[in-house]
Amino acid sequence: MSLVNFTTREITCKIVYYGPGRSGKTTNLQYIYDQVPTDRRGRMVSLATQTDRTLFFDFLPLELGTISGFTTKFQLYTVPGQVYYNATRKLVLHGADGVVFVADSQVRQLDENLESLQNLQVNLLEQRIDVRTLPMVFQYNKQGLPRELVLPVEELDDAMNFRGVPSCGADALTGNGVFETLRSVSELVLRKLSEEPSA
Amino acid sequence: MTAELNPRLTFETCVVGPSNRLAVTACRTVSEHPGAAYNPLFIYSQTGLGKTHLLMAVGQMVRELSPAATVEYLTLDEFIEAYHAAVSGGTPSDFRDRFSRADVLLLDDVQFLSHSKEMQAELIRLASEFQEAERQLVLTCDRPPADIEDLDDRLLDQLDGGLVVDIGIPEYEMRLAILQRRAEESEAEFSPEVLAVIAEFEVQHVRALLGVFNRLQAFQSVNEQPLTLQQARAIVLGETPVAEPEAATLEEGKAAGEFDRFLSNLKVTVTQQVEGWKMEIQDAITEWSGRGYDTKSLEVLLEQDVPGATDAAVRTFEERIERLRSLEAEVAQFDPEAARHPIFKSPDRIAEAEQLVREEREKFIPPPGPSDAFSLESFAVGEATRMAIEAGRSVIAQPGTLYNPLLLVGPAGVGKTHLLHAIGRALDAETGGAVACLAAGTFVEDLVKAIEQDRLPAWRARYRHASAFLLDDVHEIGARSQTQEELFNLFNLFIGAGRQMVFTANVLPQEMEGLDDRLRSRLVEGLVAMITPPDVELRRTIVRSHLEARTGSAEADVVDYLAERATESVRSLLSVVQRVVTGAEALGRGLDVESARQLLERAHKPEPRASSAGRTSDGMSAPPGALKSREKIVWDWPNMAERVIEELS
Amino acid sequence: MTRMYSVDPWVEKPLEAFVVEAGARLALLMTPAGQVIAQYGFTRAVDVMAAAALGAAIVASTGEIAKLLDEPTFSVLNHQGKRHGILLAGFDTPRGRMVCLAVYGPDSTPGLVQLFFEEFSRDIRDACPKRETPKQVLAADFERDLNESLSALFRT
Repeated sequence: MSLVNFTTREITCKIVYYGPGRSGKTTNLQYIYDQVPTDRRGRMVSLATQTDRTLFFDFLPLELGTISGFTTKFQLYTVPGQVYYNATRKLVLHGADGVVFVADSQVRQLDENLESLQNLQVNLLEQRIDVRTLPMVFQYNKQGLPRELVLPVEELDDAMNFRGVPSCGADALTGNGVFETLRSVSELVLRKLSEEPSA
Repeated sequence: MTAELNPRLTFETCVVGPSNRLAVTACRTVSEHPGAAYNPLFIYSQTGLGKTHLLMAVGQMVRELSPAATVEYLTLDEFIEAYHAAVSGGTPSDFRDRFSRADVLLLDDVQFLSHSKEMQAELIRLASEFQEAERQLVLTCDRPPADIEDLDDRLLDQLDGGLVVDIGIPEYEMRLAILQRRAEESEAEFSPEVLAVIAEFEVQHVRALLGVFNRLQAFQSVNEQPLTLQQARAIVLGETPVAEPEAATLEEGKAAGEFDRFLSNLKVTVTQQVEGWKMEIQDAITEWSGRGYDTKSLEVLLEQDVPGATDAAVRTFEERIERLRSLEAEVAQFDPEAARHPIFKSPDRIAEAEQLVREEREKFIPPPGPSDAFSLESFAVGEATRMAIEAGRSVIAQPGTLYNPLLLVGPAGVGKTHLLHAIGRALDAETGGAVACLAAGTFVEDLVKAIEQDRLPAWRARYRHASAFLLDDVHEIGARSQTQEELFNLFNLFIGAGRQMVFTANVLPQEMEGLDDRLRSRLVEGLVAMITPPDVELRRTIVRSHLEARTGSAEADVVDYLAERATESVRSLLSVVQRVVTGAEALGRGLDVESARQLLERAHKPEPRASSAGRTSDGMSAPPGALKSREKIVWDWPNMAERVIEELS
Repeated sequence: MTRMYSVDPWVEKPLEAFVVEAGARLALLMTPAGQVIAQYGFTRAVDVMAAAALGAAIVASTGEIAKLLDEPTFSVLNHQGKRHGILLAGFDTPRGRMVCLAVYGPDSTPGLVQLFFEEFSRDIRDACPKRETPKQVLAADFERDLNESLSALFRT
């Protein structure tokens, strides 16, 4: 849950990058980390295996400065994608204010995407978070691969985006679409914050 | 008297461009030589393009160049209102004087002249007067004269005789100049690119442009950094900027870095969301302060940091304004002057406003009402009175619609006052109170007092709100011109509103001396019912009922005898009965014909003391036939000085 | 004995000795990535999976804290609960780093368990076949490997 502290004038939000294994969640964070000036970010913590598979999570804190008089901090997390790690994945998902679903645009990964999406819904349900109101955006990553190997954004939208939330194509390795995605989800999260009755 | 000219709207603050150059030049000329050049000057354009600004500028410049000149600025609505107020207040000449005396008359938004023949006629008259006297008339409108529906040809001709100019939509350079001017005025710092981007948007009127400017200013003051192009664009479009990194950037470009772009976009969204409530309050403030209300309590909300319950706060504010409005309307009933008190524009001081209303209500003395001494039941019915009673009953059954006014005519003492008050009481019961029922003499006195104390509007308000108006001896207002004027206005008001008026008089209207023809004709508009002196049957009835009431019995021959003794009027009859009964009681004897005869015929001998005590309407003893003249005796002689005032005014 | 399963049979004997002497109720031997090598006492695959993933996560997290403190990785972690205790420890072998998770009851003590764990790790190091090189985990096969190990553990 995000915290809006009117006394200290701080806003803190937790955004989780979710998706099947190797879809590019960590890559997203790494790109953001590279782009953000050092005074705006904290240390990025990556708990990963030797082969660079996220074991527990990646964590990147961002200082967005003052927005409308509120000090705004974002905490970005990624979860391990493999089904095997569901137990830890659930832990990371706990308390998320917004979710970025990073899907692998490759044709052969469509099933993995769907399975992961289902898994997300199950885990949210367990935490009694309403999937329909949770701020969420889709990122269809790896759009930079040869066209024969990937599905176009519209088709992926058809397949996965039931709620009609914002979505965009991306190529996290080059950075395309990374910040757009982050901005989309941030806006949704902040908008929701201001709609809630004030503390 | 005139609406205040806004000091910020002058020729100096007016941005000139091709779209308005002609209009501005014409206005300048007219300001420097009022009445000489273009008269009347007619400026038309779509809304929000600066017509009012120009009007005000003309007014300011005229005042500067000739401080002694009288400048009147009004919207047409205000003009019409003033006209109607003057007419219904009975002072149409004031209206004419006020505007004829002006050296420069500036009328805004004359498109509402459509279908208003009366106003058009006034305006034609005014325009010709102005032309002759070389006084300047400037009009603005949202369309050319030919497009004003149903406009009198004469007015069209007059306008053609002057100058008709239009103002167009400003183009890019002019919009930019306006924004720059505005930025200078408000000491806001915007980068030139931001202003340029805003100026690019094609707006339909300057007002929209300035509205956008205000929003930009608001956002900029809320953020700590100067506005970027992205943000400006987003705000102008009134939406969150769509992610178009390539399209949106100009000089900002890649140099700033993706993160910076992300950040600035985010800030715009957050500001809009988090500060959205501020916009809401700001809108409310603009709306209500524009209507003259004190918006301090809302402004305080703006200074808070926390959104708080904005909706609720605005709603409470608006509820308070509603309350103020109803209080204002209520007070206007008692005293229209009091309704203009500034307290009715302060939502924070409702308690004080209510107090004021309470005071006014207490000060308000309702007009005299019908006397309880008279009732329909006790009014004797006979040939002489049948028609009058029927008329009275009809009027009670359908007040204001059937016979309005009802005029009861008859000689003195036949019971007009009784019937009047009886009708008044019945109407009182019907309409739930507030019936005005009084003698003409009292009416006149009241008016004189009000004039002396300078409380004429309050005096008018007293009678205006009566549910019915009954006046006894209306013939007495002959030669009282002011009273007649007021009565005339009251007439129109009551008849128009369907409220009942009843009058009594001892002569027919055509025989009333000194009566204005307008009133004369109105008095006969409804129904004139005659009450004649009582016939023998009626007299017998009256005597019988009174004898029974006083002594418990009424012997037939006594009744007959008494009924023959006084035949002129009910009053004289009653006085006879009174004398007989009192006399019998004094002598300790029962009443019979013999004793009655003794009492009455003995009294025919002239008494040493002249019974000049005068008659009152409750039938005290008086020699029958003594006072035959039509004049009523007044107990309190009014102050002669008052009479003079009344007659001179 | 019937409750021990392993992917690599050579770990069984040292693990068995450790379990008996330490009085462990549950034991897991896995890679730092959570891939299970051998398990004792678990009845369901899902439990193994959860325990392995979580155990690996904990070790990774504390490793990170150690880095913050500029310490070499913590070797042994002890959690003392009301009824059970958990030992979580990593150690190096010729086969690569391994993580051991042991759950013990009130009849054992942390000190005892740790003592026997030291012995166990030495035994493993000794028993490790020297001929084989550490298995290279291919990216695409990673998940498959994880799941296969799990299935293997419950097939027998």
